[in-house]
Amino acid sequence: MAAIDPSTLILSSLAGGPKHGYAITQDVLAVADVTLGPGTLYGAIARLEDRGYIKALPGDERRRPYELTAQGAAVLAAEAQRMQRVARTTLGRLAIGVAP
Amino acid sequence: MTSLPGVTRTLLASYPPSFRARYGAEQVALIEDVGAKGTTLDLATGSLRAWLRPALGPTGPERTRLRLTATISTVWVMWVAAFFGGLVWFRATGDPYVRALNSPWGFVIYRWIKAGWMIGVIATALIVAAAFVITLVAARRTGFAQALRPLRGFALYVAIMCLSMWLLALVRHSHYARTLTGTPSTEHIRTWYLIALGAWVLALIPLAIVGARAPLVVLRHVELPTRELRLLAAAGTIPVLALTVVGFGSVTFSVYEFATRQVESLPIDVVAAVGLVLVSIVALVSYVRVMPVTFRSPISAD
Repeated sequence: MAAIDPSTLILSSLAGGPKHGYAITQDVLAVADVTLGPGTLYGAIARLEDRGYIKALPGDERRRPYELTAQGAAVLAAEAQRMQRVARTTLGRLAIGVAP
Repeated sequence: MTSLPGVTRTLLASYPPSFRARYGAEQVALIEDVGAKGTTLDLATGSLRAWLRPALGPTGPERTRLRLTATISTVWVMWVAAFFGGLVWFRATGDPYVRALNSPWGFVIYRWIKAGWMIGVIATALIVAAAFVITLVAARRTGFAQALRPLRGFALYVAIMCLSMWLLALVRHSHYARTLTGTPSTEHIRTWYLIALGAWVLALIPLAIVGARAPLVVLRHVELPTRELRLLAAAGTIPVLALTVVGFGSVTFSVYEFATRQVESLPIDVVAAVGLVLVSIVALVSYVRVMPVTFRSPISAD
């Protein structure tokens, strides 16, 4: 079963405000019940930063906070709407399937 | 960092230099917070992805330069791994004599592998020599001593290797001379032989690690312009193609040999061949990704 893309989970976490790596993993674990390993997390952060979806804020080199950019927010909104559409359709179909 | 397990530290060190410079400290801090347990596979795949798809920062000329640097680094590391893996493979298939060599196609594949290996080694040696000259010219800006400092460890291990090989040759020559003249081999010769052999084996692994890493550190410090990097990347076509021939050829050869030989344990040549094909795939994928930048895009002003 395919899980939600780590990049989407990170963007979703940062939509709630700037966070550093550890705070992101804890937030993702609480919200999506997904554990992001250090390799997955920073690989995804590197790609998101590369694409301009998030940016690093000044801070401690070991615990640098990241925040969502306007471009990242737009991408996340589009992705959330797509997921919502899929979820709504799926739930509707399931309801029809189990109806007597 | 020192409190982390050795495997974790090794995996963190296996990330590309640019990635470690940017995210290394944060990764260490996160692992210290959540614990290193269960991170091995995650870090290994993360490292591989970072080599294949390096994060290069914002668009523009600097991105092109970083992309070329990243691919040259990946191809170089893969070549160093293939060099040592190839030595193991040739040694393993040469002794004992493998049956696949008796079949016509096996003989042809073996010749292709050998030709690919020789062409790749020679081309890589020439490119490294050219890169060294280019780096020396570029290092005028930063100062030779500072730019070439990372190569000191490499030079040290090469010196140990050369010294131990010279000692080995000397001792063996002495041993054979005594055998031919009927004088029995003495204990002190055996001791010197073991010392030389030990030094050679012990220097081999750090030489591979330092040899893979030091040139990349120099490349990053010197910050070669895009034009020179394009030349190096274009020249890298030959080693990459040679490595592809060696990787796929050796795995075909060894797997066929393994399948028809009916042995229970996994032979060392099959392990080496699988390693060779994996590093050749990584080098090829990384190279194909940078080809449009190398050959098509206009040269940007640095």
